[in-house]
Amino acid sequence: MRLAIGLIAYLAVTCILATLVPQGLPTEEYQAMYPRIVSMLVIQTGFGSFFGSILFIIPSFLFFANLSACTVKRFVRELRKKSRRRHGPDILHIGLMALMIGSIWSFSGHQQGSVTMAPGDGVNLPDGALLHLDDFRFERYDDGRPKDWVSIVTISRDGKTIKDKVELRVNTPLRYAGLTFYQASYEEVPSLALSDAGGTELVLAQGEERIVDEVPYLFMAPDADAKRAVLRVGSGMEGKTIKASPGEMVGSLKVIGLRAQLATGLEAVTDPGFPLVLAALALIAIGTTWTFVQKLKEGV
Amino acid sequence: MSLGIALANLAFALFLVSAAVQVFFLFKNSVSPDALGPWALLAAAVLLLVVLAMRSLEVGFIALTSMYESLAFWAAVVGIVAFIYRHQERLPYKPALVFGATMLAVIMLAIASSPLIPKEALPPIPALRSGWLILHVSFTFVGEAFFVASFVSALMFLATKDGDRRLELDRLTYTAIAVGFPFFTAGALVFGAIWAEQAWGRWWSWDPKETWALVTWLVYTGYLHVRLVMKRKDSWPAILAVAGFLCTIFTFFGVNYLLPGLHSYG
Repeated sequence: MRLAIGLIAYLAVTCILATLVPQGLPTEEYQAMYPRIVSMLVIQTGFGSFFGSILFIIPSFLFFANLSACTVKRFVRELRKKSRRRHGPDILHIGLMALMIGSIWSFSGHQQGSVTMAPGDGVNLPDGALLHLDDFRFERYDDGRPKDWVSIVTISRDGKTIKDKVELRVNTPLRYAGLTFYQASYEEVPSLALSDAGGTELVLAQGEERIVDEVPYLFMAPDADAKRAVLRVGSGMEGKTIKASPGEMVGSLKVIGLRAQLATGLEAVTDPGFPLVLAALALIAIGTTWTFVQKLKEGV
Repeated sequence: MSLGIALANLAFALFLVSAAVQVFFLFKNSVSPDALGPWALLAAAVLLLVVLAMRSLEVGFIALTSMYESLAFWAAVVGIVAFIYRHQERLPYKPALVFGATMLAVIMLAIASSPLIPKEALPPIPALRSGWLILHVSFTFVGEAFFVASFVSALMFLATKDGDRRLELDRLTYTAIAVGFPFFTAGALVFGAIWAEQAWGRWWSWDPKETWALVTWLVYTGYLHVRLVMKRKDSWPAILAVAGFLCTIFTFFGVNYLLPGLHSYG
């Protein structure tokens, strides 16, 4: 028990110190920030990345070993009792052990990637499906503060729609094939509005290419003063880079003008350890409640 | 001044009235317990909850997203907990504990009334629009309201040398933590982690607020092991109970204002 208390005290104190020392900075920044001795100490001990250092990992491992031994000993002792068994602490301790295993699994298996998409864009997923952004809305309150960012996405595979026009929001992620998609950010990207002979409008985001009448049109960027659009029309040796103003014709299309189009930033995350973490959290909540409800009932 | 702010000020005044009546009875050393003070406390707490309900209707979301609303909620729960301590019969009644908890609620409301704390009722930013917020914040503050009671009784324990009185205060400190700890565990750590996974894609980020919540949990875990397993009833458990509450306070105020992180809006 003394070892457990000592480790709890050590983890509490070092966690406090880790919030006071900025984490993950380059060596030079610690040297500029602190006196020589302190910066040496931070760099040499790995305190700058405390939660990945041996200063944290070894005591955590010892804590896990101590907790495991205590749990087994306690569980056997409770089983031998004929009445008034208290298994709340056992559930809580097993939950904590599962949480520590789940944490290692989660932090080592956690992968994430992000993509910025304008409406109409699509991205291929690892299982061969296509995630298509149908629309993106930035909703505001009357006072101008952000209310919601909503990406409307469709996932299809082999021509079959698997998720149809799902609204992806902050706090409402989309889960699909082991991946979780989050509404992470947004940005304004320049876009170019064009119209064809029939008057149908076509909007190209910066960097986007569309083929019209077998001719590719690539909107490269606005020019330096953001009044004209720089396009590449055609492909290969026949392709031409053109600067066009509103009203001018490029190929068979007429330039309407430059616009700012909202693009969404989606983050895809995979975390194989999270289901175990979730189960561990449930055990911790149940174990804690059971422990103290029983103790308070017994007046201990 | 809006109706909500006027009612909140009235609740603040009721807390002060309750504190004044309690002080009167404390100095009078009356045998019969103070009847008016705790009822004024309950009225003030209910009024604060009404204010929060009105703000929730106004913004169309549960009003627990700003520092002002959090302090008002915490003070309301502390008021209710103090009222329960006055009227329950399983534990010894200590008027000074109820008074101490009342004074801490007064301090919370004094901070909430400060011009530095924005008071307008605003609908939440997208990051806070989640049902998990309700569970995360409410369970955490219910747990922390019991930590307020444990802090006051632990201070009273440390201030006295009387053995019988110490035993009573030790029991009060322990029961307050035994009730508050499961609420805090569920609210701050369990619901917090589930919400973080849903909002940020990481259930734990070692953000300063998360780390300090863990530190608070570790200190109370230390208290429970020292008190329950090592069965110590000397000053150590009381010192840990005081340290746990100081960590609670720092997690709430200090991290928000001194340590930047993912919880910078909270």
